[in-house]
Amino acid sequence: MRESREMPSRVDFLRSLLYFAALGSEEIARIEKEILVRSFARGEILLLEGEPCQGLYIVESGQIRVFKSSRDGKEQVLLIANPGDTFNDVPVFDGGPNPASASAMGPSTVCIIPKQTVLSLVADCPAALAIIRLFATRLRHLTLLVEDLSFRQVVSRLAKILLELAVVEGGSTPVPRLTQADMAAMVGSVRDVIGRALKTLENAGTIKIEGQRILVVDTEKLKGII
Amino acid sequence: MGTIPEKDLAKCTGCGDCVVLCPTNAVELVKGKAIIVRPQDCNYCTDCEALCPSDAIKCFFEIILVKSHS
Repeated sequence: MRESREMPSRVDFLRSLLYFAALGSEEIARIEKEILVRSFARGEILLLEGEPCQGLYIVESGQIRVFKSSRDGKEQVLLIANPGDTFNDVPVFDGGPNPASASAMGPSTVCIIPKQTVLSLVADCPAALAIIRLFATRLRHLTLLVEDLSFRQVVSRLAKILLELAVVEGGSTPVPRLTQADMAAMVGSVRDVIGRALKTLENAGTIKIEGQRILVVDTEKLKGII
Repeated sequence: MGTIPEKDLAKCTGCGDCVVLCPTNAVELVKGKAIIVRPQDCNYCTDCEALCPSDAIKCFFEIILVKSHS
């Protein structure tokens, strides 16, 4: 990996991006000064899922693969980013870790705009920042959903939603009521499969089904199935 | 009495599928509508929900965390 400072033509490049289309010359020039430019060889990793966010990435040349990985090494590509595309937007705004990893598909150059620099663009409009943060949170949730649908079997996905939804009776949170069709829609499956998956979870000793009550009796075992 | 499936009688067409296929014979047609006439016999197997062609039957499950085991 090589590092270099920005080049004069980069101002035009930044101005051509949707992200910065509304900015004046002064602001573009300020951003340009703070950009870090990095070049990567084919296959080189730019950033890893779960690590702290360094900033917003913009592809200047080449192609970048943004992907999620499962524990057993499977991958789900979320985006092939081409020149002018941004990625790693979500953690810049929601403050969380990188939601996915990224690697270069060929010799590539990217511009990294530090998180604080991006946030400074909306600093004088707290309402806009709050709305963007909300969207980023929802986008992260959808990224997690892609991960679930790609890497987890139905039993595992059902275990995850039961663990997330189950509440203690008599508490302040109302006990959720779902049909098997509702559960199927939540885990991307069909009703019949949910019936069998519930039976599997019951046989594993994680839940008990008593009439219309699904009792989550062993959360640790249930976590082990996810 | 245990909980029984919820029926939307406005949707029920009285086709009788649930009457025929209920494993505990808890359902009968009453004035052209399927009614669980023997609720004590219903074991909440949810077969009636699965087979109802007019989506008139809903079997809700409450998802409860049992504290002592968590």
